[in-house]
Amino acid sequence: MSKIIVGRYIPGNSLVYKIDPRGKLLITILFIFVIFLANNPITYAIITVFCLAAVFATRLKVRVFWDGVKPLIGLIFFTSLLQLFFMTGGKTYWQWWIFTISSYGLVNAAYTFIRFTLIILISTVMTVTTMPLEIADAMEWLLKPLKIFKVPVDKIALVISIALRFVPTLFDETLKIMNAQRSRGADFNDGGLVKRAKAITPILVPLFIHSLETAIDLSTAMESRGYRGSSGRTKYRVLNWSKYDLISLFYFIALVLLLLIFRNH
Amino acid sequence: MSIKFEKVDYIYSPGTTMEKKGLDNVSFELADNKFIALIGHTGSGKSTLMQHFNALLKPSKGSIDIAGYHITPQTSNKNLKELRKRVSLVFQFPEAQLFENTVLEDIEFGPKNFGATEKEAKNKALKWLSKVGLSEEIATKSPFELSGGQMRRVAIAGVMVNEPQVLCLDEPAAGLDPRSRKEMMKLFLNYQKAGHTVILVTHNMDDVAEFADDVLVMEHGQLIKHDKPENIFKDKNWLEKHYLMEPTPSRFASELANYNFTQNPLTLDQLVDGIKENLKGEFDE
Amino acid sequence: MTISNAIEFKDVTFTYPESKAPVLKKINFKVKKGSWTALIGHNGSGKSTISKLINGLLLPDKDSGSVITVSGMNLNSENVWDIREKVGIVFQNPDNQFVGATVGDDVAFGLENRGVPRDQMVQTVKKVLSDVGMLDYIDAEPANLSGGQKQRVAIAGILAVEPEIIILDESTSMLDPSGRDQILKIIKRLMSEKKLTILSITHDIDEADMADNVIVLNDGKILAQASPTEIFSQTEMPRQIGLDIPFVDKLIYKLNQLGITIPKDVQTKDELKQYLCQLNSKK
Repeated sequence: MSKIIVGRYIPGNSLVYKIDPRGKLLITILFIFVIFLANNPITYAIITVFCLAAVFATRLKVRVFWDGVKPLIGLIFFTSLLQLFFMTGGKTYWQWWIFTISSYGLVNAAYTFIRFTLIILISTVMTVTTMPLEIADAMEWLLKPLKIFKVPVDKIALVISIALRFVPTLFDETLKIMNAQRSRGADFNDGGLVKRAKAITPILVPLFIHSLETAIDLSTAMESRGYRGSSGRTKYRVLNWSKYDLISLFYFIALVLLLLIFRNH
Repeated sequence: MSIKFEKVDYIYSPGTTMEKKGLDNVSFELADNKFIALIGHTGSGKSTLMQHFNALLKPSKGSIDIAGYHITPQTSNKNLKELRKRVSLVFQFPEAQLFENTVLEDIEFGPKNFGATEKEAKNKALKWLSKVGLSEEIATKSPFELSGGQMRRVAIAGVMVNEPQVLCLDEPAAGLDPRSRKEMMKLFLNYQKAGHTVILVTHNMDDVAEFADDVLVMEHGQLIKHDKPENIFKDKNWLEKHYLMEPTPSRFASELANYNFTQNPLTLDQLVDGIKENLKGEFDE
Repeated sequence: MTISNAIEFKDVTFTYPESKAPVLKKINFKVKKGSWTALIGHNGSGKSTISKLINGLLLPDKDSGSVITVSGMNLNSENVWDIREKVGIVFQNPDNQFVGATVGDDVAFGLENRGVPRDQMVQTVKKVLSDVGMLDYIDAEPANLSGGQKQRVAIAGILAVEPEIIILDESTSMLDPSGRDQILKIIKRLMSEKKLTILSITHDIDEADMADNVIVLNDGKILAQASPTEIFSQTEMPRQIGLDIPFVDKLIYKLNQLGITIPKDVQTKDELKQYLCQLNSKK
């Protein structure tokens, strides 16, 4: 009965959903580089506006994005505080032992905070609007040039797609095994580290054996359905570029141009 | 010490987009030491209900009285060990729970968790190994060397060894060959006769007719009927409406156009008796 | 020359690498083209080894004189891929044979392997999914399907590559009764529509009862090969090797014991019903 979502895909049909996964993946990756073009308040404001616009274009609840940022909030604060207390330069406001608060530190702490948050937000935009399988397809497309170096991109893609497909199955199996062992008096919440590590054996061994059996069955089924490596295989699942990809492309180019114009040279 | 469910609701992933009602206002009371059948289609809430028997799931609303425990949404996850000793579940394809180096050690896992000494655990394990119809020779083997049918028996021994007051089994005979199937059903029936409650989750109406004292029928998370098998199988229109099958003997009986059965034959023996009754005049001459 | 047998085993012996004793000992049997044959036997009788031998996933013992013929070809390591074109297997575990991320992807898997152009692939996938009544689920993920639905997808995936023979390798043993009935109904319909040969490996006696021909396997040997009525009217043999017998045969057996003698020529359920009704109307 338990259904889990791999990644954090949330079904929807806003504009962002219509962009080809390849486009989304590529722009997300490039965004992480482009964000380093920002180096003054104006450029940071520009990129923040662009990023928030993308967030709102998903038409998803703000909470979804907060859930994306939340697990990393500690890390964001920690890195920002490092900047705040250790960076020197400009005016010094406060000093104690090895800690310094300077004007440079303040500004950089703020920039680090924004940079981090934006990167998480924009990746969340991609992961909540793109199915994991589509991300895998997009990755296959991005990795295609590696074929020249004899990297078996097709096989890697098949492996990823099968792995994704079996995550819910394995999750169900894990839950079932845990419940079965609980019914035999196993306790997974009590005791110290050693006791807990020991308690996990009754889950791991059956899970490992189950996975092995699944793998053997699956390879038998694949072979009997005519799978013999990648040569000459065609593809059922194809991705299609559309006008929405042009929109996202122009949006991104506009962002880069604005950043290039307004940054400090 | 009967089992009592009072207005039990269970909600999966509450507060998310995937929120789903697993149990919907389920109330019933079961007498002690009976053979109970729990039936319904895949996804009807049978498994969800089953997991409430030993608090693997706790009600979102309502309360459960079972084996001296009172379970409410507030019940803490701690101190449930004793409950799980008194109420045990055998899941579908239970051979998936085997993990120890030897068959014996695997069966000892439960007793040891519940505080038995090495010696007690070993004695109990050996006793149940033979009760499920396996020879002592395999005690020292790895459970993973055994055939599928033997693994199933080891897994069932690993639960029954705790000798729970309430034993709940989800399709324990699925995939077994007919002989093993019969042996397993006999084992559960004897366990019930020895003074325990047995709850069997099943799709097999012939088994329901043959073994059950009392039947719970689930649909869409609701308990739609709770009655004796003869009453459950009485109303053919009702069965049809809920896509439930009649036991094979009743189906056969209803197709014998010119026969009159004083009572709907649920088992093969009842059917044979009924046919004999009808033909009485014929064979007395 | 027309081939009358879809599958033929001649003196086939097979031993698993890690064991000493063979699981199959000089097995001989034939499966007629266009027939439904059921292979029954208890767990560990060697049933499932046979399906893997038919499409060359396993090879018989060397120098044992074993000959396996499938669709008129003597199976060897060279033509094994040609034979796999002709034979589709629906395995036992619905989850462990579902390769694709969605129903459509899974059905297409066999077509992708054969390099079928995409346009044609899309057409075929839709067609075979509607053959098994699963077209509405084309974008569904396996986690949201029941066992019976997954097996229907598995059948569609096999139909897509147009085989001559479908092997049901305990395909219904993990399903609930309604799932099982649906699968068997679909197979029965497809068999006549597409002129398929069916070999069902099973210990479900009602499934065996649907076949034209039953082969009984016990301890690696063939015990009997005959029509279901012939096999199950000998009440002792199936019992002895741990197999159940169909309901009707059980009933006849019990009635006979009570002195209500049922003539030998009354064998099927309908015949028994008719006979009993006649018996009652004489009064």
